[in-house]
Amino acid sequence: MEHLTPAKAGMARFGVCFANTDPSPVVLRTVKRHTAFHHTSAKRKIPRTDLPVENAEQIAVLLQKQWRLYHVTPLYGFSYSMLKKYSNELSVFIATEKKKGVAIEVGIELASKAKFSMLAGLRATENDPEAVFIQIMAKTAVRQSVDEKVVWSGWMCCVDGDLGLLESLPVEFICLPLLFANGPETVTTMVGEWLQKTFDCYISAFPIRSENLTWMAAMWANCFSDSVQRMMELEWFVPPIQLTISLSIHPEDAKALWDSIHTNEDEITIEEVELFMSSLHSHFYRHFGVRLAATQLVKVSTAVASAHCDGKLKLFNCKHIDHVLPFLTELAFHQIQYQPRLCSSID
Amino acid sequence: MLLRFWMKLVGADSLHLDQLAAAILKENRSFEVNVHLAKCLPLPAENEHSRPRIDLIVFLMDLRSQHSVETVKASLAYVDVNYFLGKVCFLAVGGKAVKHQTIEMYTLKQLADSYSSPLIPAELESTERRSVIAQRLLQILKVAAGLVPGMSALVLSSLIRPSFKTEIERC
Repeated sequence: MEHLTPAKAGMARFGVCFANTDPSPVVLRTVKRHTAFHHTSAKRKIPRTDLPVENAEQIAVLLQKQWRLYHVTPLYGFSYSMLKKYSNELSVFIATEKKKGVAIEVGIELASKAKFSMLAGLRATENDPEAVFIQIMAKTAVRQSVDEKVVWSGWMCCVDGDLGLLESLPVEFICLPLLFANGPETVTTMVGEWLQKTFDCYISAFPIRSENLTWMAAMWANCFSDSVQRMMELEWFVPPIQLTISLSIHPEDAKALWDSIHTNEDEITIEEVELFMSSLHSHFYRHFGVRLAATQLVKVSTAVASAHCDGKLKLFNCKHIDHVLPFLTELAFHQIQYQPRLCSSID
Repeated sequence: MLLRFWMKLVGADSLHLDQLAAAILKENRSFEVNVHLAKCLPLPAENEHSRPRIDLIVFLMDLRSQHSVETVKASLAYVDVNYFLGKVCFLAVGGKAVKHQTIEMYTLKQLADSYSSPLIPAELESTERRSVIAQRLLQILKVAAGLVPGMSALVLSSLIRPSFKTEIERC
């Protein structure tokens, strides 16, 4: 592991107090790092959405698409001035892979081209690196004319990342822990391989745990989209009998329930989230006799976004994008710091 | 003289309880064990007078089901406080399949630490695993019932308490 000592600010967040007479803080830090019993924070800040969204047209490209989430460890030697070079290298790499006989997709016969660009407007603070947008376009021959269309798109970002970790990284590293991919799996694998070879990073799948899905449900219950009224949908899965239970809630009711629980303007605590979910569970039990507490929450869908526990995400609203991304970045940082081997790799 | 000792298994999932009880009774031992199963506490008041003394209580919690943890938490209120001096044990099932977990192991550890009792992660899927856990529980029962000379339940619980504790106890 490259970084062994997280900053003190980061440690204080987990409720550990370093008294003056503490003999060896280093020992305590490493013990905390390697324990299997680590837990996520009990409180989270609500981001403020009254700031205007810059670059709205480019961000609109990200909406309404089903993204697959991946984890990326910090990139070594990535430079924003060499984006053109990266585009050429990736195109060459895809061409050689195709020559080797790796099947991509029927229809992509002619040359494909990759394009790297910067995606402005997605960083929350000065310390976050700029987001990067990757597109792979292929020329397909359609009826005598050569048509260029986007075959695969992906973007990497870091929104409101953990300050302690970002500052403890050496200068050559850039941390963009989230990778969103939309397109054929084989192309995702190729892009992943190229990224891993070029920047010495490690890309792995990013499943979302049920507790984090409950946090998302609570955080997004309060957000309204002005134009589109979208029901809040929750899906539960019962593994032994392969049964899926889905519940649709009118957004007004969800907001009313959340407002009656939530008190503090700035923060959401875990007790509020648990109370929100247990009210839904008891309501369901009273009406249908099914104990949702014994099942597993797999999908949350609101007007803001929809998230599935396999790591699939769909964003609907440009305005509320900063309710979703900082939380995912925080989960990604957790994964890097505490559970580097629990996820399966991309290839 | 036939010595009989009673172990009580409490948990929301009856399949796990049955399997574990069967594994415990199959084990070779030099004393008689009776295993009593309950879905939750308090026990019904009818057999109050004929109920024997319980030597060890084992609480089963499933990491895949929030409901089992809530049942156990509700049942803990009905246990006499003297039992927590080494005669209570927590079992955490389902830690292997990370994808289907809804509770964090940390929460269960916090619960066990707040009651000063050991938490044993267990897998009850295969017979070998069940017999391993059964042997361990029988060993704890032997100490709790006073069969091991020089060792009492309280001494054992303080010996196996790990040096790293959850944050509630640290500061």
